[in-house]
Amino acid sequence: MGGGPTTTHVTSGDLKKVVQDMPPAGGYPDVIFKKATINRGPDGWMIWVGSLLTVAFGFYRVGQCNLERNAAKKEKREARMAIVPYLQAEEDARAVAAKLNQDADEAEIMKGVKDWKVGASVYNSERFWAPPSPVEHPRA
Amino acid sequence: MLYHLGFIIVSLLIIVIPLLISVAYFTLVERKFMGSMQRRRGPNVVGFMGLLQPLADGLKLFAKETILPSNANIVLFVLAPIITFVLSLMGWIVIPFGEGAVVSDINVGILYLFAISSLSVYGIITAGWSSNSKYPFLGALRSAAQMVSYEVSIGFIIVTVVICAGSFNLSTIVLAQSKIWFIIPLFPMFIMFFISALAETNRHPFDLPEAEAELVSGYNVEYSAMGFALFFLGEYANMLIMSGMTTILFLGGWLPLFDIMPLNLIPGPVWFSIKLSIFVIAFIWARAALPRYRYDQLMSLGWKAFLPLSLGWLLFTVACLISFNWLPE
Repeated sequence: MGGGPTTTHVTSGDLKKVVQDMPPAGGYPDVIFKKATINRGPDGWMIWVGSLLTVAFGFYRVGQCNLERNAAKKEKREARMAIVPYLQAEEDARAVAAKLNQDADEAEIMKGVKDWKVGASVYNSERFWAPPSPVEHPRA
Repeated sequence: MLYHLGFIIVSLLIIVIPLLISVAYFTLVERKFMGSMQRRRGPNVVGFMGLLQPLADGLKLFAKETILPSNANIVLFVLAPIITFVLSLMGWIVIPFGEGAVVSDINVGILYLFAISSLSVYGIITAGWSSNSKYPFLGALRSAAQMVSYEVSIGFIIVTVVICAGSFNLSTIVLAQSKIWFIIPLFPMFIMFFISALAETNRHPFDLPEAEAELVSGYNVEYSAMGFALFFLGEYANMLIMSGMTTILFLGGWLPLFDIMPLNLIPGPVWFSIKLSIFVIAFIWARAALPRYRYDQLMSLGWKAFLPLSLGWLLFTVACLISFNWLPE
């Protein structure tokens, strides 16, 4: 066991002898390596099953959340679709009132100009008329 | 018009000034934390418990003379740290700190963030090339190959999250996690994303572009004073943004741990900061604990492990969501 260097006295006769470390009588005991491995934590299959269940639960919750969000989006879309005729009616009334105001202003401004037709379109064709849209003039 | 401009400037300052302060104190936290891991005290001389150390470091770098190497391409040499620094700040305008607490809530926020983080490689390449010196050049080459490799798997991971959330908008991605954080169903992706974030920011154990033992300091060998400070700030701001991205994509951003009474009283930005800080600590922990990868190990991890695994999990996610009709609209 440890300690400093040991002194050996070698005589000339000893040099002819082969000096070699040999195993103890009866050989070394077996190395029991299995004893040295410490079994820590759960088994491998438990980790696999646990992970699979956790991931499955995660995907289930993501799916449920997505279904809820889809339903909320659908409700919002349908509510908008239901309200569109009312918004369009409001917008039509606003467009007519705006047009009448515009014509009155035009008549006032251009009253000195001979042969001026109030309310006439500046375009040659009426093919490209766009209906008044509630999106362009949204009501607060 | 003037009001609008003033609003933009004030909102940008509200982001940038705390960001720069947090970057400065990030360096202090890093040195203190690594000190405690290595059984020493870390900076403790300048100010109470070393609290003024970042300011002293900044002042030193600011006061030093900027040295321009005579053989360098001066324009690019000066431009490179500016590119790195500006790009590291640009990503923050789309990061939601709380519900509605975001400078620009654009519909393609995650794509913008991905693009900005990919562009940061240009700062490093430009620095390495314009220095006209072999160590910076080798560092820049390593960095370019590394960042391109890991962006591929980051891209697949982001696509998986986008498929689960049904939107590129970061606020929507956070709100899609109100039932469960994506870290649970996408746990392997979360691990891969964080490791790729380490590689993307050239941090340990993937800090080959600036491997001190081989390349002196890599792409920034020739830089001193403010040029070096800008690289330093950019690097740390990038780490913060990658931590923020991990928080938003996997840990539910500003959402509380559980939506129950005492927890949901804490404001969203506080939750966001707590989660972000966890990843910041993880970045430092990785630096203190792990030895540097060899270059071929780095490449094989990126291309032979992360790429197939992220692609596989992407297909698995899509298959799950389609099979049970769980896809978002």
